[in-house]
Amino acid sequence: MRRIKHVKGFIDTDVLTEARKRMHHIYDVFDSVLVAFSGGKDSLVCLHLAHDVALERGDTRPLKVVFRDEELIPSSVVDFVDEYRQKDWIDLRWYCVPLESDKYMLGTSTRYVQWDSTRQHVRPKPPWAITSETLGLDPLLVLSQYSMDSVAARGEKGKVAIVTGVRSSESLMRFRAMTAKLTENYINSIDKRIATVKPIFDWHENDVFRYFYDHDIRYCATYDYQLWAKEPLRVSTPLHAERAKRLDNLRCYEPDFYDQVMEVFPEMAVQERYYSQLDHESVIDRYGGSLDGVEEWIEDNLVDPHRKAKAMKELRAVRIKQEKTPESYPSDYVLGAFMAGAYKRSITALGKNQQKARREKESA
Amino acid sequence: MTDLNTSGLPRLEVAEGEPVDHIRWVPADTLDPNTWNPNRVHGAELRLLERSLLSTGWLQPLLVNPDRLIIDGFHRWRLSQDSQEIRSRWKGKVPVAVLDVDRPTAMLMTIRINRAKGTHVAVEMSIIVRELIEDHGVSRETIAAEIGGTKDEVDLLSQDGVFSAKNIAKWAYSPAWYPKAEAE
Repeated sequence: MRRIKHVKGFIDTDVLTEARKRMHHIYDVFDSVLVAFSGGKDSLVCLHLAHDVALERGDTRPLKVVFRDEELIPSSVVDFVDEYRQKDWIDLRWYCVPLESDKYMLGTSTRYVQWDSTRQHVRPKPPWAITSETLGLDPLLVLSQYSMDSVAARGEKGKVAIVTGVRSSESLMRFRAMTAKLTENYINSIDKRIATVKPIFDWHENDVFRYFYDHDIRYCATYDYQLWAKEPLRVSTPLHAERAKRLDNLRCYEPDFYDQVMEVFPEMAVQERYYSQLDHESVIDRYGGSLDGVEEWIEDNLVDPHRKAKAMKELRAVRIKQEKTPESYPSDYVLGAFMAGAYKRSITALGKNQQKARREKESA
Repeated sequence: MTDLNTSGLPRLEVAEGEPVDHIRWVPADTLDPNTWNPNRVHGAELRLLERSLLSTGWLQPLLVNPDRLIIDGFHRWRLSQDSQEIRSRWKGKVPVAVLDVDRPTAMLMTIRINRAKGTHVAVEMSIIVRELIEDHGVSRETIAAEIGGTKDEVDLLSQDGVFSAKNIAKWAYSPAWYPKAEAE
């Protein structure tokens, strides 16, 4: 039996024209539209697209923008977001609330909380921030991404769309998520009332910069710093797996921020100094022979009970998948994904080309 | 205290005042390279160090203890042995300043000195490279050779931002798409 897969079906128009059409559709079917802005380039495109389309529709009310302040962000990004906060066409809500996150150190991701009230902060909360206290929440309550969306949509009328700058070309996982649905693939319901919408899901990074170039929009300066430091152009916290693996480079493109982070998370110096020497191969050799080995790695390395439970749950799902398609989930590959913290979402199958490359390597 | 070190060589005299007040030239092969030095200088950086020594001469001495143990300057010492040009130019000698510290202190100092050397910040690097090219007419090849980099690195640092680096003015928007099902 032939398997069905979801692929790109190109249409006879460009990404900008189509994204504008999607934004019109979003305004048609939702009662309230909020833009989730991070200060980054992708959400900046969404913010301007949403504003342009609203004006085209005769809606001159300030655009509702949500900024989820992740605490561990450099001043270049903070200042950039603040410039937008002060624009008269924007109604920006700046949230500084405790949020689940994780930090990656020498092969293991562990939990930490952004704006944790029990430790020193990397930078002070701005006076205009919306906090747990102003929201009437327990200050010790830690929100997740999903509960944060619900908090952001509080007080909004009817059906609420939260516009995000997710692009499928950022990773295979994002591509799979964006192609899972065949109809209205860019609209994903969180609950009966709230949905996240991704109008630029098919854009490439250069499309984003072309949009800024055409519309004379200044992007956040951190991208120039990252360019010169040969760093991928992204605004994200420096402790996440992919960023933490290049923590030493943070010194080159955001040196003051590096000092701020190390002041509060001095243990990350260990990651910076020794990650390049981390002996992945010996870890893979020791634990990567079977999924039982992966389970042993989880037992040995994940101390936090919440994390461990999450990892075990994902491992159970992977066991079923591996039984059906062993080549898609080789144990050493699964272990690598667990080590990088991917168990918090669903671990994706190894692609056909990667499987082929492994077969060739093994036979050689 | 014996006047000989563990290799049987005379211990170096510790002068009054600061170590840099009394710099002396000693044969490189009488010094004891510290075997614990955690600072790895890679091939390209070593070649850059060689170029720097040959072009400007010795700007600062090695730091050693009276037992001739090298605290700082291991890689310059290594070049004084391995580089024929350096060896013959200074007749196998290196300048040293002597600091009266024992082995554990020397070990800690080696780490401290190496860690305190800092990092080159990309923004300032880009500003310097652009000034050298635009205001002083220094060629990209010369800059690459002088900083121990590649021409690609200099080209990148000389860009004034993402638009020019990505040649965005010539980029045409990509075709839009939606997911569709296809039989494998």
